[in-house]
Amino acid sequence: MTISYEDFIQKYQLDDFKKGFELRGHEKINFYNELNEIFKNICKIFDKLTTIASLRGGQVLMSLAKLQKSDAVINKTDVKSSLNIDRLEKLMHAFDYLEQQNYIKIERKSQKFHIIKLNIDDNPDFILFQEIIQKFWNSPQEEKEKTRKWRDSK
Amino acid sequence: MEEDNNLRKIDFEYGEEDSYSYNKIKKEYLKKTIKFFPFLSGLLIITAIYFTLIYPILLIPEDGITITWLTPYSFNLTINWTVFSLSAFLFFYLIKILIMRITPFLKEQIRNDINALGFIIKEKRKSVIFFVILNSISVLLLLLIELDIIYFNTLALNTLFKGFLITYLFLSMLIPILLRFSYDGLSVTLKDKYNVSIKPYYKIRRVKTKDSQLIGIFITSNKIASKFNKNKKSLYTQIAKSRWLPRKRKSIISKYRLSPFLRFHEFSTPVNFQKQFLNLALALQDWDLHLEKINSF
Repeated sequence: MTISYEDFIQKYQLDDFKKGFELRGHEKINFYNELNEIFKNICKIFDKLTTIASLRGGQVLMSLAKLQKSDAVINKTDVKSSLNIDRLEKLMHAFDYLEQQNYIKIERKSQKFHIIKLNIDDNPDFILFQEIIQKFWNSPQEEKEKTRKWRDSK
Repeated sequence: MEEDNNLRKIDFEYGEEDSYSYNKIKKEYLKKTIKFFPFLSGLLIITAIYFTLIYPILLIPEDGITITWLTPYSFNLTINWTVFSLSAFLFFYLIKILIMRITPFLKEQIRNDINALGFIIKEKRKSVIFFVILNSISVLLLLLIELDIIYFNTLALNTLFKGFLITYLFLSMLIPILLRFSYDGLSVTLKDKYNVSIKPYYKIRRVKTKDSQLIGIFITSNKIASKFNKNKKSLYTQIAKSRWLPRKRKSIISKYRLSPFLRFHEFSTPVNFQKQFLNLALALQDWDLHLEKINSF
């Protein structure tokens, strides 16, 4: 069930600064679950909005944020695979646009090998973005694997 | 040639190419329509000639005044039914081909996307099988009547059989036609009980604005439960809401609105087809897992 941010604040009286804030036992679990639910819904909104847009810039950002969970070097092909896209040409416009807007950094190691990462230094909001995405978002590749597992299960 | 193929593949990706893709698909569709038009009109003309010119002449009795040379003609009931049923079915079969806005280019795009997800797309043609089976029985029954093998002495039995025969003939025509319109089409089997049908949609008439040049794809699951089962309907609503699935297919005449069954619906454009397809597949997975949990209690 979707929980509203306002309801959440009201439920735990987070805007009441006269009272102390203390959670015990189940209350703490509920608080944690509801907070998670809010972030999960925010992530779902990101996912839907990036699907609506025809330029794949939003999806590339989400994919990068997810892939940066591992310390491994990320190149354009990793993003392509994560988004389950058949050809890199389909993402070229998005990469160019995001680089122009300073949202991502591209290190051109060779003509074909380009390392990319989120430009967190210039866009500190990406820290929270990255945390939400890494925790709650399933990439199309993960969704595909999930569907395949379900198909192959009895 | 290879370069040309690459250009074709990226058609849906960039805004400026949308019009090109739309016009290309529309052109393909119109070509298909022109190709089938002579078949349709030929079929109608042949049937009309048969029933208005040939058949009335052949019906002139043996003791008629002039055309006695036509007497060897027999099995007119069987032949008439065969001509009528075949031409009626073929007519609706061709009409459905025209209604289904699938063109080779669009089909290739959808097939590539589905294959990349590890599934196989199939074109269902169950109506043909049903037509062949039901109508073979009809023709056989009529033939047996005309050969006097099926014959009833009593009036009651005779009337009863006639009633049965008329109902059967009517249903043997109606069922394949209904199946042709409701069942035949592009389909993807996800799991034993779950499959998804895919129907492209775009405007055929001349459109001026770029916004009207949208190529849409309706993705619809098979029947998953009755609308009257409250628990299942509540589960259905919950899943549909959580996955942002539209609960009604938005088309002017939709057979799904009147259906007493629940189905998941999704809408996509060629660019985000894979994502939306996976969304619907995962909705079915959620449904399946929830049902499993409920059944295990």
